[in-house]
Amino acid sequence: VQLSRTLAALFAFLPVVLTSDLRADSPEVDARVRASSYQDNDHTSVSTVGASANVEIPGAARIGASYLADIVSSASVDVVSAATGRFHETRNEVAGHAEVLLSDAEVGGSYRYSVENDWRSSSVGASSTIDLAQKNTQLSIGGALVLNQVGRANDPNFSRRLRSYIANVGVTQNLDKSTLAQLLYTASYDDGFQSSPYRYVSTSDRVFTFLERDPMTRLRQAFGLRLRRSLLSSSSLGIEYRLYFDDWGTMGHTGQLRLASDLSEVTSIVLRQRMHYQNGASFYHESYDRPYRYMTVDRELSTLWDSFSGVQLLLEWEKVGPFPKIGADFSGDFFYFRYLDFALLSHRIGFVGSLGLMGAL
Amino acid sequence: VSDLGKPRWTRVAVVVAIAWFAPGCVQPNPPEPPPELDFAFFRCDLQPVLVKQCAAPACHGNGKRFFRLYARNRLRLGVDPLDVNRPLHEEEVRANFDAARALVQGLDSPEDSMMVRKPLESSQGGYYHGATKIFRWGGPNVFSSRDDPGYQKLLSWAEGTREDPSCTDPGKDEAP
Repeated sequence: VQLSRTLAALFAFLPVVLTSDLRADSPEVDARVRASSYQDNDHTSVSTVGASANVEIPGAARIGASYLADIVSSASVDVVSAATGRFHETRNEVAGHAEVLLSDAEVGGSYRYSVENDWRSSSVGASSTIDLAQKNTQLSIGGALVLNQVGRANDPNFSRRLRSYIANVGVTQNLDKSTLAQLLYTASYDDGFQSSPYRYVSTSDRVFTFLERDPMTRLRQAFGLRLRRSLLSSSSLGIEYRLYFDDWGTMGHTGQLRLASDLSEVTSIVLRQRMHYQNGASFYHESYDRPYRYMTVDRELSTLWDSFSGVQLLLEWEKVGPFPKIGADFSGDFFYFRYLDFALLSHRIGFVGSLGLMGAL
Repeated sequence: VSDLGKPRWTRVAVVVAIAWFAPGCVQPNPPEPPPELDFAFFRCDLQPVLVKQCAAPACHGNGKRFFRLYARNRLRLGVDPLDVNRPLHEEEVRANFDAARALVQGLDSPEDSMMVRKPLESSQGGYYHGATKIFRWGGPNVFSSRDDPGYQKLLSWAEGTREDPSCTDPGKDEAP
């Protein structure tokens, strides 16, 4: 029902897009497919396949839709420590977006619906960007409402609500002919059940074992700064830093370097390195000496650092057969997570690889 | 807004802004013991139900379980293997009590807790319980209905019903 509603909403918007500017150029259409695979040494694998299509009438409007499926198989320490065996599940997601393109601004909306056997999520969002100072400055603002229904596998009677309210603002500025700077701020407020209905937490003497209990609300904030500068004639260097903090006491620092270079007319390569460090939530402890209001064994709330090192190869050809443009990209990232105070797992290493194909019509 | 109100609103805005952006503002996490449920009711009325229905070694009579139950002739705490059929000692009863009351907490209400809903049949509103698949081959849950006397005792205890502290524990007699 949700899928058909999403498609109906997208088709309902289509006439608006197609009639929004009768002087517009002919539409540009592109379609993409992507397959990716994740594998780590914590006995978890995720295979993802997805497809998307976008239609843009230059100077008038843009509309797009996408579908993806995640197939997850896991026997991670979270699963094993809950005295259950390996699980397999599939997540399906459909999404759509539409934007009206004005001369110095863009206004859009989006919708996303995803479902898996113990989680259901709907998200509706709106965003706008405005070009200022002869397009040297761009302001962006956006917001989203995410409605989640948290369940338990094989359990029709367990259902808890989680709502998220998200807002973001950003400014992008051309500093000179070859340098771009971007400042971003994001805030979100989560209200509802945020624990895992599968995880249990014991006191160190094992007298008490509770269902994991996280606070019912969480205020998250993040500032991001991005700089990108062209180097020579065919390369660019990007530097990013992101500061994250929330009222659970988690503070994270993320830095990324990205070097992109055109190797030939059809081939370009991107090298990237990302580092992240976060201190654990204030209520996270490796072991609890007695019961507290909030208790968790979520490793993502522990103190950790991680590193992603990756390469992406992009190929793009113009005017191939009936296609004005076709493209392909291959990417691979090795990652390493180090958990500094998580008793069940000291580190996690793995690989994410993906292959994407694109065709413009 | 009066003239006097303006600076006040400014101060409020400043305070809100500082609170909003300050990364040091975290939710407090005080010690919070599990609910003070009635020990006598547990010992005399509920524990016999749990011991009979849940304490088999393949189920919760297993030290590896988050919710483990000590019972005669089954899992014991510091008891000589030759004495496993002796009545539970005070520490074991207290451990069973603490394990059970910890699971009454954590969701919206005692009736919605894992302790109360997991052993109840799904068609009656119960949560998924692995035992029905693993040990009962898809068969019924521990309590097939809300009217089951055992379920009534569990719910009653979780909601705070009290018992005469001098009540008789049916399992206290020595084995013949």
